[in-house]
Amino acid sequence: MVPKLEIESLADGIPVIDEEVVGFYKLNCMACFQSQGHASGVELKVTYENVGQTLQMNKTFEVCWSGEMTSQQQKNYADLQRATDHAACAIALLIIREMTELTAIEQACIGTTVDYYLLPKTKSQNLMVNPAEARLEISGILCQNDYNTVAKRIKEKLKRLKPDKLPTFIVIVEFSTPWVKIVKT
Amino acid sequence: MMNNVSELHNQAMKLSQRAMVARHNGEPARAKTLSHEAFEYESQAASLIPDEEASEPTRSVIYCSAASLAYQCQEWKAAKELIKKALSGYPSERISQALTKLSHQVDFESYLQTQKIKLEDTELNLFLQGFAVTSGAVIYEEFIKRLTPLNVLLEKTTQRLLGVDYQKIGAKQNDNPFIPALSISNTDKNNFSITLKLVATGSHPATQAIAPVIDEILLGINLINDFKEIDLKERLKSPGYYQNFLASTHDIAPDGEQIHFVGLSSAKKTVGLTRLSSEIELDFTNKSFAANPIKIEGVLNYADSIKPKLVGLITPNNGNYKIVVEEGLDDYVKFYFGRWVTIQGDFDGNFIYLKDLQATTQQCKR
Repeated sequence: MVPKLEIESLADGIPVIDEEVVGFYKLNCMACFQSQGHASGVELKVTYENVGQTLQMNKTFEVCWSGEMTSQQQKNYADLQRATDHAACAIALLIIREMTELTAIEQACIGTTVDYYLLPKTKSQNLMVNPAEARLEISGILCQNDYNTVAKRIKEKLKRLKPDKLPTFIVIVEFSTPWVKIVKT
Repeated sequence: MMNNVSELHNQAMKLSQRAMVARHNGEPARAKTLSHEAFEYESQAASLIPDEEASEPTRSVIYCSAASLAYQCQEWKAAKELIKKALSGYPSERISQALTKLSHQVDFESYLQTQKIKLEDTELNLFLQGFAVTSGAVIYEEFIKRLTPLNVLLEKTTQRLLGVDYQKIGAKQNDNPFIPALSISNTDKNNFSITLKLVATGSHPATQAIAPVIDEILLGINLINDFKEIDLKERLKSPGYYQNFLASTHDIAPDGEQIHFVGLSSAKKTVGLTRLSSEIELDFTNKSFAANPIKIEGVLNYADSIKPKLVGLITPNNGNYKIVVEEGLDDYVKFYFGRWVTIQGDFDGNFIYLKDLQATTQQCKR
């Protein structure tokens, strides 16, 4: 049975997400998936590559949400470029929670070139007590084309990242196929 | 105490996210109130953390976050103070770099507000900060190095928006619907600022389209600053225009030594260019040949009119290299003819495929 990825569960076990903003992320995800002709229950393929261990893992999820977008919401979320960024964050945070021992605890400051800091789910989910153990860098593509591919995005992200003691998870979410590529450096 | 800090910080993060949603939902007043509350909670959290090495990295991370929130709600003075306090502790190199970038952004934004610079739709302001700048003056070379590619961007973006195919040879004077005029802006002791006003050359039908040219330039530079070259390439489509835009922005960008920060602003938008010139690599990703990386100094000395894609480089020991200049890089290379330069690229044994070109500040000794 294909495991479910419930967008509405975004605040569960992901301390960086406030319950009040789950609806916002859900609508962004709906706007992106629906613009590509997908409905709730769409299969999402995930490829996870650990560069250090030359390990590759594939998994498929069923992405689920409830309800429909109202016409007003469709207007509010019509800027698909921005929606793609927010929706990619939501999907990436869920996938990291589901496929690794880590979860996002902190959003990075402006200018740090990463998006989130990660900590094991079992540890106190607080940067005050435990320093971050990994970094998360996210990018979204609404519909891959010759100019804009998942592979090119990974390359771009690797170039952008400054060396750090912490490992980094690069997550690229593509909404047309849809599929996700995770690279752990 | 850490629990208290933690609670304040968590509250700040919640409010900050709610502010983001309010901004998206078109509720600017609510977004502003929430951002301000978030900034106050985070500042309070930061102030409770002792200034000692054992408090790191928490202390600098929370101060950096508080300064970012202060910046977002335009509390410039508070943002500068928070940055100063963060840097006074023991921040990691990564946080230190982020704080320095934020400090430049705050200077730029507060300058635009305090100097009451009112730009018209036809104007583009260039703001420079760094060791080459003092009391409203700037080292000529550093200024002209950035003004020239900015002018190229104006010319090429105008042509692109008019639907003209990329032209390697510059447009004739009469072909361009606008020419730039310069006016000195108000400056203070830490920066140099100049405004380019685009003036219509006559009754060209495109003279109404000046503002979109400026918008398009700022949008493209912002994408490069955010490491989103792929998005720029997708937007520009033409390889010539893309290479030209990338190379021009490479030259406008700060070098991190003489110029630390470049700000660009129009009536509608401001862009702080913090990505270093050396981080903007010219794009040769489609080349499929065996080549080794090379870094070499010399004088850029000739262009071959029969093979316009090639220029030469003479090294201090009279070595002679041929450099391939792809479509779009012609304007970029032109500026350096006859000068000492440091070139980085891929060398296939015959040609160097250019990735970076910088003027050499100190000439090599023969």
